[in-house]
Amino acid sequence: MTKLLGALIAFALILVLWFVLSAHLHPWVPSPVATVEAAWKVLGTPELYRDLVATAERLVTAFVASTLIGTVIGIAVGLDKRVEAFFQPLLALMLAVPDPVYIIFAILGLGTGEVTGIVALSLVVTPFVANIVRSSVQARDTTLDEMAKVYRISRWRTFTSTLLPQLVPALITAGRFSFALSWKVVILVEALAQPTGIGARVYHDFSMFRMAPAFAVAIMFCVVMQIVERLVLQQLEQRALRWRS
Amino acid sequence: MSDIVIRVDDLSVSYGNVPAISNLAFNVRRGEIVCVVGPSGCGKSTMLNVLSGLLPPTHGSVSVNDQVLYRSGQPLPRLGYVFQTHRLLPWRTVRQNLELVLAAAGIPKAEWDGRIRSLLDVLQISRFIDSWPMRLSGGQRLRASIARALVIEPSYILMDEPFSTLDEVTARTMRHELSSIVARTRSTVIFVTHSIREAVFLADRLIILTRSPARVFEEKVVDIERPRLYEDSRIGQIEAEVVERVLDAWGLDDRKRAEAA
Amino acid sequence: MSTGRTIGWSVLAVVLLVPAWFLGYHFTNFIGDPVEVVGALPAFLTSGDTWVNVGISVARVFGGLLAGVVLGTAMAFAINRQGLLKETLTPYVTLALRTPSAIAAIVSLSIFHGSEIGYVAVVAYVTFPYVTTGLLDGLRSADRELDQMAQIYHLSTWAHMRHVLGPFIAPYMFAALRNAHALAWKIIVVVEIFGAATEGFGIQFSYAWEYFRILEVHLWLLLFMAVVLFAEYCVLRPAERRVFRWRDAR
Repeated sequence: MTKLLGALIAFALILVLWFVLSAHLHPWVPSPVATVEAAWKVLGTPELYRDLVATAERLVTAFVASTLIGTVIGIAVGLDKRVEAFFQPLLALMLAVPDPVYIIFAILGLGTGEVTGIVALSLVVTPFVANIVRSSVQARDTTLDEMAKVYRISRWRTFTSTLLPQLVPALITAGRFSFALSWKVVILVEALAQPTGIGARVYHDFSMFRMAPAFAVAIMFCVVMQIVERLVLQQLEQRALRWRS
Repeated sequence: MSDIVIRVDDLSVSYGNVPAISNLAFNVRRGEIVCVVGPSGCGKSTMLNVLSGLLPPTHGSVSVNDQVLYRSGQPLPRLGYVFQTHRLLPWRTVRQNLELVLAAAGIPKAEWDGRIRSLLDVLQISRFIDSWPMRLSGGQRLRASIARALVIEPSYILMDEPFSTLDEVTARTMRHELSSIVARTRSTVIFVTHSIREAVFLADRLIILTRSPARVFEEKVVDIERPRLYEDSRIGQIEAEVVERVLDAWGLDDRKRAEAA
Repeated sequence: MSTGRTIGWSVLAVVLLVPAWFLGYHFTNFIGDPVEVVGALPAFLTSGDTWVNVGISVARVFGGLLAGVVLGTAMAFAINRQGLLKETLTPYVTLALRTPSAIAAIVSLSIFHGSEIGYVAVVAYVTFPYVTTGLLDGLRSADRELDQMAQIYHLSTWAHMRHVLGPFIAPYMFAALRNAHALAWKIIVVVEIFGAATEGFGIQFSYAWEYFRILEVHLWLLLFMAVVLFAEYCVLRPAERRVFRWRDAR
């Protein structure tokens, strides 16, 4: 009960702050009313949905790619100390590159097509996924490996029957994390490198000082993504983890 | 100043409607070592919490040096506490751990070094004065914990099964040493333990509690002269007597239950 | 595996980057000539202009982190008190945690119009939730036993904070700080680009990119990575190690 009350108060305070800021900083900060109006208007245009689809396609492709690649790297690095020692500095360096620079290189190397955005996005997200999977792999129950050795279970069997089941929760967490990161970074990638997409639309409106539609689309997108994250992915997670209960 | 340091007067403590202690009453005189024994779950920890200032009573009172605890505005009594786990700050050296409580007790800085050194000497851990607790063995950490309790020259010292986590050999050494240190410093000690033999060895007087909710079942003076030997047969005798008497009171007597069946 | 071996493999990886770079230069059109880049480094690094830009970005990151730590700490203690305060503040933490960097940049720029406060504010906004969640983790697993000891021995509130609580949550604080620090650098570049700042790493990347000066992109990237890695490995980690000397068990 308090939770609901708290959330309401929090929301109300932000709304009040928003009103105050927009009154003082007009036209830089659009009023909540103007934003809602802009939202209503843009929801009636087909361009919005075209952008949404474009974003969704890039998002899903990159998310799947980085989850897969990141997982493979993470497993390899997590299983072998030498591999870890070798790749750790590389991962650290990759994480130290600012996102826009990946976008720059992607554009230089691949032009301004669809692939560019997906590649840039993957480059940003994959190291994070690899890191997470690595920690999970290293946190696994290594005594099961020893048991497998004692009973001379083949490496492949060991992998599939003792390792993989332990990795499933890790993979799911990695997937969830990857998605959460991807939808945030795709906005940046589109803003800087693509002609279509939600990110491109928001950035374009922003640079043309059309603040109300920019805010409107941005907020709506974030809300929708949050819902997707919560509902869809949580459902998947629960189903895949049924065996645990 | 009266001879009685701690006066527990008709003490009752309840958690909600559940009584943990009920009409507990006993006194502790200056320089006395009182060992409290009772069955598991009887309320010993609750009693310690009240005596250490952590938990106000529901009824009744506890006075230290004739001042009732938990009355606002009263100066807090100086007490030492030796826990079951050492509870030393692992990120401070032994010396710093002791200085911390010295500062909190308001003891002038000029005295700190002298007190710390002499106590660590007595407890035979002088060489660890500037070590981190993690580098010490379990027994050594316990000694540091005891040093911390003694260094502030407290009105009384509470000990909560301090030797229960040690191996038997170390525990036995510690019991003998504790006995002599306490005698030397003439400290007033309340020592809680579940080992009746240990209690008989250490105590001037035994306080035996009932099952939950705890009250005093019996008090027994241990008349053996000091220094005592743990293996002394008289100790074993008294232990047996006490065990016989509490079997029934603590509901542990299988023979009687079998007979009744 | 011994530390020596570990370092050996890591060094090998870094060393192999050099030939990898040469190969990259030959086989792609967007990776610059290592020889050219290294040759341009001395002039680049001795130019005052370069360091002005670095300084501005560092100042923004540092200021933002400081604000983020202060705000995050206050939030953590407030939320730890439970009740209505907790339920009102937690949504803000969640919101800040989940705001995309691009959106945070845009909102900050519309409110602050690219003033310095805006940069500090956006870094603070993005980093404080990490400090809060990290600290809350620490506060929640706080050792009741040591708190009781402190109470029994009548430690003052200040002594309690300084000697018992502080050192206990320090590891959580450092972990949170490391995450926050990495994130701060990521966001500052984005905001500087969006905000068309006059100085800072972000805008230098932007200029170099706009005028197709691939060489400069490389130079600024190398410098950026050097600064970030230096801060992480030569400032944060050593500080962390010093604070945790006591951890070496027997």
